[in-house]
Amino acid sequence: MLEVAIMHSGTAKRRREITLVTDVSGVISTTEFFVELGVRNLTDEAVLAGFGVGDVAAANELIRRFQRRVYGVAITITRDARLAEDVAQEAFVRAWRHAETFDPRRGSVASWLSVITRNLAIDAMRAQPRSELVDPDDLDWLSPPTQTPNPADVAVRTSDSEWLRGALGDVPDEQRRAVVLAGVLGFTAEEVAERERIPVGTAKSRIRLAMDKLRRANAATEAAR
Amino acid sequence: MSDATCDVVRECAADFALGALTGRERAELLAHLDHCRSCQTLVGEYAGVADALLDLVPEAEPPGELAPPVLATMRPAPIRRWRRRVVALAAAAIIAIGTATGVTWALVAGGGGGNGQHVALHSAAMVGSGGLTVGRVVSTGDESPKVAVSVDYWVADGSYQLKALDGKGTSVPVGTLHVSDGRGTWTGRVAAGDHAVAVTLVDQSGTVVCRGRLA
Repeated sequence: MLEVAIMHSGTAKRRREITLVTDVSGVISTTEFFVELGVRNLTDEAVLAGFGVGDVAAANELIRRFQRRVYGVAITITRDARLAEDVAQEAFVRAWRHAETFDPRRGSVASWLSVITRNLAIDAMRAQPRSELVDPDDLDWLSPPTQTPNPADVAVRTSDSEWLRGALGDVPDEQRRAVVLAGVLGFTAEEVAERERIPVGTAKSRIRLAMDKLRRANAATEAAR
Repeated sequence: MSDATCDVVRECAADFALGALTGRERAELLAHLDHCRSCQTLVGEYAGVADALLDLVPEAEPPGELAPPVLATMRPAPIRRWRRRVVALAAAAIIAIGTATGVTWALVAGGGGGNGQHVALHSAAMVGSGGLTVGRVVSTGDESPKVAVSVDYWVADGSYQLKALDGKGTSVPVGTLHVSDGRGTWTGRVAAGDHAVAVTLVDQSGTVVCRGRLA
């Protein structure tokens, strides 16, 4: 009868793994692997933890992984390259200062950074005199694709969220605007009401109806997987 | 503070996920979620939608390097010129010693709070059975050190008690580390009075799963 055993050894930078296959006569084969362990092999959560205690390698790695995402959120909301760059830098500084508050059970590092960035971008816009927040109807990437998408555009989108783009297309326009204002641009229900010139109760209702439809669409997508 | 009901949570779950509740409303809802599994599930589903909305935002290449200004903020406050050279030499010596001994050291701002205090960052492997490296522990090494522990290999999914060991072998629980899909992290402080020299991860049966040296 064949037996298989795996033995591990190694250092913090290099892990050695040996697989032994034996039968009653002894070892009949060995396979050896070396796994290079650097910060690039760590999970997002582990990199964030290192960043939080000031590890420079972890800081560089976290920024390398998420700078396009963080800047993408910042430029989408501010539409000002210089302001967006400042917001993106500040988002990483906030992440460093508050890394210990990150709870992986509540979401991914990417989502956590996106929320920090969104909130900073909105604060920055509100501090600018005469600044106008972007109109949801100008966010063409929210619309479901009507033709074959450009591969370059697709590459920069998160494939896991494609179900949401489709689901948003099925939500009535006024509800879609409300949920985008609240969910992407960080508006409160009162601010949605003011902007859309509707009662606060109507704004809340639109947001909740849209969120409920998206939640059900998500559940249906998950069930189909 | 009163606790919200399931009906209230169902009504407010979307607002909660979007971060649109007031502090008081949020606190009441959280108090309810502490003991209501079905509401936890519902809120989790709405939170997934809220996260996905931001996931739709297209990524974009920043025009300049973001890392240098961020790293500059993380550095300690400026020090007087005559001390700067001494600190640089000391840092070089620490790095040289650390490299030679397989332990990584770096100079960081104290506790991540940017207070300008110099502390040595201590990083070491979390070592499991048979000398297997299963993760890493990083400590700010000051009087009441901030400690980050991460495991990303070999440790089975579940909840583990994290204990700090002093030089006499006495251990004190400092937190709980949850491992999911083979990975888990914990960040917190170890009290000054514990005089911790190592941290251990202990499973439900009391078995030490892995250990990392803080000093």
